[in-house]
Amino acid sequence: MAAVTTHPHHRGPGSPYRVTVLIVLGIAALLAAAMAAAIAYRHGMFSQGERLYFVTNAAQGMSAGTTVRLAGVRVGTITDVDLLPDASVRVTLGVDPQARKLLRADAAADLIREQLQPAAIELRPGTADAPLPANDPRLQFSRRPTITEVAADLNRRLGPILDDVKLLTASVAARRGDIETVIAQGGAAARDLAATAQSLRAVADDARTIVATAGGQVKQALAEANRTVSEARRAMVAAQGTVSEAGRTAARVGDVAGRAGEGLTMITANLPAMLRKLDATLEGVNRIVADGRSVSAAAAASLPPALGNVPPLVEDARQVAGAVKGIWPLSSRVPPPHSDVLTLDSHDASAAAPLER
Amino acid sequence: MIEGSFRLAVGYTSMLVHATMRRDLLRRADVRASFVRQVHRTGVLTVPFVLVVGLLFGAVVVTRALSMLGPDNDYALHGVVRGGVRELGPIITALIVIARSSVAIAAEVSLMQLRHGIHDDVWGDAAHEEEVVLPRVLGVATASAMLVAYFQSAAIGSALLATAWNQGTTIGNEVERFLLATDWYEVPLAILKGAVMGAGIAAIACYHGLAVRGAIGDVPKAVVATCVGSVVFVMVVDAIGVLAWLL
Repeated sequence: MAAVTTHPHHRGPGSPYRVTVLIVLGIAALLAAAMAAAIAYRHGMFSQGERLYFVTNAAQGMSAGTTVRLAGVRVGTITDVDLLPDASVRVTLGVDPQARKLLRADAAADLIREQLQPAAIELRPGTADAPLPANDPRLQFSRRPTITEVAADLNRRLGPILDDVKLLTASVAARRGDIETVIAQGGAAARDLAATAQSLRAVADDARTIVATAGGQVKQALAEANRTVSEARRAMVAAQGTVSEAGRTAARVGDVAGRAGEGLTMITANLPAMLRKLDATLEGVNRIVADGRSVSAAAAASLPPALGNVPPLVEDARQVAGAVKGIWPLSSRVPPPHSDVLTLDSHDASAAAPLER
Repeated sequence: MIEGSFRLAVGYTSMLVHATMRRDLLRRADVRASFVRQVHRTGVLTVPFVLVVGLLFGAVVVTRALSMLGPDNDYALHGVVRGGVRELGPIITALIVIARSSVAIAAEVSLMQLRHGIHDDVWGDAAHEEEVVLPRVLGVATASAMLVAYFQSAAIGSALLATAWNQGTTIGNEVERFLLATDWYEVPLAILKGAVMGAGIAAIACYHGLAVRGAIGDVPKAVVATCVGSVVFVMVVDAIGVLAWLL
């Protein structure tokens, strides 16, 4: 065996690459270890976690590592899938302790399997007052139907309907002539409907005009009514004033009535004395009348001769008066005597004189 | 063709078996030095390329995929993260190694054969092919595993930054989503896959390099065969990995 160091390409243990290689290798190892450790830590590998379980008849779609979510947030994974003696399956979940605290006694787990999504367990926290028991943390379990199952169900339900549609379509195709007749009649009916619609449109226009006119009248009536109301309001105000006046008048009437009452009271009180005085007065008058009769009877005997001298005296007095009136300045102060005889003409010269002047 | 493919498969496997069976050769200083040198050339010197590709992959591919599939789609996020971390990381790293190192290894070993022969004293006690194959297979495997780690870090980091910027969320929120969307074993699994691919690439390169016998025209043939064989090997390993995961 020749010495390897004889060739320039062969380097010994003191190769300058050695340190560089060790450093770069070390950095790579650290990066890989850190990455794996971070992933493992986030997946709860370094913590015990909380164990929950549920029992199901079949574990299709579930395996160790399947994601467990709560409200859409990943909180753990399936840790074990065990077959039980009664052929059921016990599925154990490892979940975050914080998520475990949110679960109530009626918490449940749903298996969700969508076409483009990996299978996952969705936890429903429940609404019971009591928390999930620590000694037996068993969850209810159900499977949500996949899109394929929903499609199969729809296919099962819609299949007969589609068959009926096919039959109807075939029947329609067989009676095409009838349908064309119906369509023609439908066309005619449509045209009639169009004419009717046009008439209705005209009627609507008339109605619109009438409504517009009536609206004007209504506006006028409303204005009139407003005025009437205003007047009524004013009348009411006046009536209120009248009532107030009437009240004051009634008060005055009451006052007068009060005074009248007082007068009546006074009259009532003084009436007997007054009646007595009146009676006495009447007796006096009777005596005076009697005296007068006796005097007149006595004078009747002497009066007629006296009366025969009166006319000449009257004539004398008239003459004196006429003479006096003719004396100035009395003649201008004493108006002429008014004629007792009606004039034959309706013209009153004395009344018209001021106008004529 | 089937016979040829079978022969190639047996030859590749023999390289890997020889390297594995003679791992005690690592006690020798010259073999360790060769191993370190291979790690340096395939791994350390390739880190910048891998980082650039990883940054671009995370910033462009992951962001675009999430924007098309829906940022709230857990399945999309799961697929993108797993695809990026477990599948694309090792594959892209392997393709870089193929383009940059496997052809170099094939050419180097071919020229060794042509110039001096494996038995030449210049190459030390290389009477056994394992002494040529072992440091290269282990070195490329180690370098590939390392490059996968760098690729994952760069791709995930840039994807988180770009997604947070693109969708107006926080970095913390995106980190949280990423951590929940994948499993811890995805990281070592991808690194392991990268190591297997690197070892296979190096074994294929050594096989074709050692297969050169006396003609200079055999060298490009060996290089081309190494390229094709390495790509096929990477795809086969990835397919086997997917099948194993599904089963």
